[in-house]
Amino acid sequence: MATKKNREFPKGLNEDIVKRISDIKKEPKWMLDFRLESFEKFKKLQNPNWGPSLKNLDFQNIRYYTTGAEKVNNWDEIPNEIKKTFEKLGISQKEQKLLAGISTQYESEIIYSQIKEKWNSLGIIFETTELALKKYPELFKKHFSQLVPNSDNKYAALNSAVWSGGTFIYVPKGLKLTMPVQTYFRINTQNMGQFERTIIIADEDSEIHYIEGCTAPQYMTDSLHCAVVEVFVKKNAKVRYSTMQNWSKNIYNLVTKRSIVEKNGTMEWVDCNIGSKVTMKYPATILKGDDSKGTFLSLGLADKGQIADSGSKMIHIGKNTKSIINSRTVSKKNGSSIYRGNCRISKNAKNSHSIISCDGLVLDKKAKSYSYPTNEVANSTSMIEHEAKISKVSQNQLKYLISRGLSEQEASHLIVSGFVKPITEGLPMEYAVELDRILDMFVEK
Amino acid sequence: MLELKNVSAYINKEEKVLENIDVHFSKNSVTLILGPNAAGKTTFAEVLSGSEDIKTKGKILWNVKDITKKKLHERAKLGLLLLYQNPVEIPGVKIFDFLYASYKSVVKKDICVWDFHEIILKNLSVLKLNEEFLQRNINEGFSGGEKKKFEILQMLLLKPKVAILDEIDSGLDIDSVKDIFQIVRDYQKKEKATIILISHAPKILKYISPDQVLLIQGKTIKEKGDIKLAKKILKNGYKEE
Repeated sequence: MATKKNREFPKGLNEDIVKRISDIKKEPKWMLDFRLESFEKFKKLQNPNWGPSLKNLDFQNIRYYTTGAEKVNNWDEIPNEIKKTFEKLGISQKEQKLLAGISTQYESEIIYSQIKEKWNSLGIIFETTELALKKYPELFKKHFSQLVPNSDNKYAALNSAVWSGGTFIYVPKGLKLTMPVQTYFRINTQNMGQFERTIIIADEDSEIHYIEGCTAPQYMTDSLHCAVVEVFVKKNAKVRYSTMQNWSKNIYNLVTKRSIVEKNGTMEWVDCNIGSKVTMKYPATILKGDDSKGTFLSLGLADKGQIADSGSKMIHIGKNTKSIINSRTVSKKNGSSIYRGNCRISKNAKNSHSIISCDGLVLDKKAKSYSYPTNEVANSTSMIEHEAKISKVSQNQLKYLISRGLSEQEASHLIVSGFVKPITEGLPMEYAVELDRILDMFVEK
Repeated sequence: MLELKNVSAYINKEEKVLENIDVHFSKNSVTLILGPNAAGKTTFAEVLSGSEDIKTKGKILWNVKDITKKKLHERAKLGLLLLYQNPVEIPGVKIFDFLYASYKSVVKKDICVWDFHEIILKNLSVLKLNEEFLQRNINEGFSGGEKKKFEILQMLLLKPKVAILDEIDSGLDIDSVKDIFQIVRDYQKKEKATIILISHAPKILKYISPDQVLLIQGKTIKEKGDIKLAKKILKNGYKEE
């Protein structure tokens, strides 16, 4: 178990804090300047005037830089609810401590370093974002903040000012990675951080499937997770970015994700939001090149007290571009699920096509499900199809299943997992299996 | 096998929908329950199945054991199955996943998915259904005939000791009715099962000959008899009082 030997980084946010973060990381001057500029923007930008309320977020009560052992020092401090979930998921003691932020070392570190060696020889770059800044300054500068400027929104500005950790990946031309790349391999505080910054560049004709997060709940004492992700999909390249978010239920999860797709490229987002108190996340895909494609599949669960506000932006710019949005949300008790999406087919994006479906399932009378889509088509050869449906698990459906020998929980589980299947069937086996157990716990009364 | 002793049923606590029911369904037998529309036949089926929508008084015995307090899923596990007249649609839930879960719960807990697959294929062929049927969602977009076949498929698969068939012939063409009753008869003989057929139309005598006939009318069993009672009703119709 980790001890409290670290220098404690103070809570709160001011210019000095921003400078100290940059100083600890021994960054070049341009990054410090960028951080300070971002901090100024953060102060000026307002919270969004739509969506869930963020007024209870106290920026001065958050620690903006942590080293692992500062997070939680004692197993006893971990809430019982989380310990219980770990047990039900069958997660080993060692891993439990890691997920709870107590331990910072993980056995698979060794496996990871072996894989990394192989990747290096193929020309793949897979580093923490800090290290990438040092080792590949030009490639870094060429992409960093190019898709998500620090003026984008208040939380992108905040991340730009105080970012730490995250993953930087470059896949060289023509290289197709068959095995999914998982942050899970090297779980540590650096990339499980609150303010991580991730950049993925898939060069021409390359392919990568990146998976972040994990299905097990992740505990954090501070209440804010605020990340920025930028994905560059070059000509004919394909990126799938899968997210499993299961932050503990005290967290505001405010994430800005964006990708740009060149000619004939493909971007696929699979976004599963299980935990956190408030989620606001709308991964965007800019279909810049002709014939490019974007897909967004998302699953949101909202239990008691949770607000999951999520959706996608698809911006069609190139000709013959195609996009699919499929969002499935499940709410129970007083949980709220919100689909908020925007699909825009521009004037020049001739012969483009988008199919959007957002379905909500509510498990009881108090649960809430909303849908706020905005669709615009600016030319006459393109088309957007939109379908939205909110359904309730009926007593008759449950009764039917129960009359065939299933318990009420088994019956609800069967209905819910059937409902989310279009999203979960794209996940790797081990995630799908664990997610299924989470659904089983979710439907428990 | 299954016995009801002075059973009354209520919905919404107050409203009495059945009263003073005394009846015995023996092993290896076929009972035909007749009655005009809205006489309480479906309610009777729900009472047997253990539906929680209905409150009951009196005693229900299963091989002399009191199962009055047993709930819907517990009775299913004992081997009691109600084939619904209008089964509900459950979008998103694949038939295969549902039947596998149900089979594990009722018949064999530790069956592996491959063995189950073989069992279900055999039963599908009895009903002349193809394998793709398993990939459809429960009753979603089913024709009337497909719904009935799916209910019968569940009977063949779950092998109930007591099967209650509520208006199993409704909405079917004559050939399908013949086929379905052939399957029901074969099942009954092979498993020595207790079959309880519910119908408003005594003409189903053409397809099956019951050992016992009950007339439900005016919220109770008005008459009990054998096939002669059914023939009498076939001839004279239901006389309302």
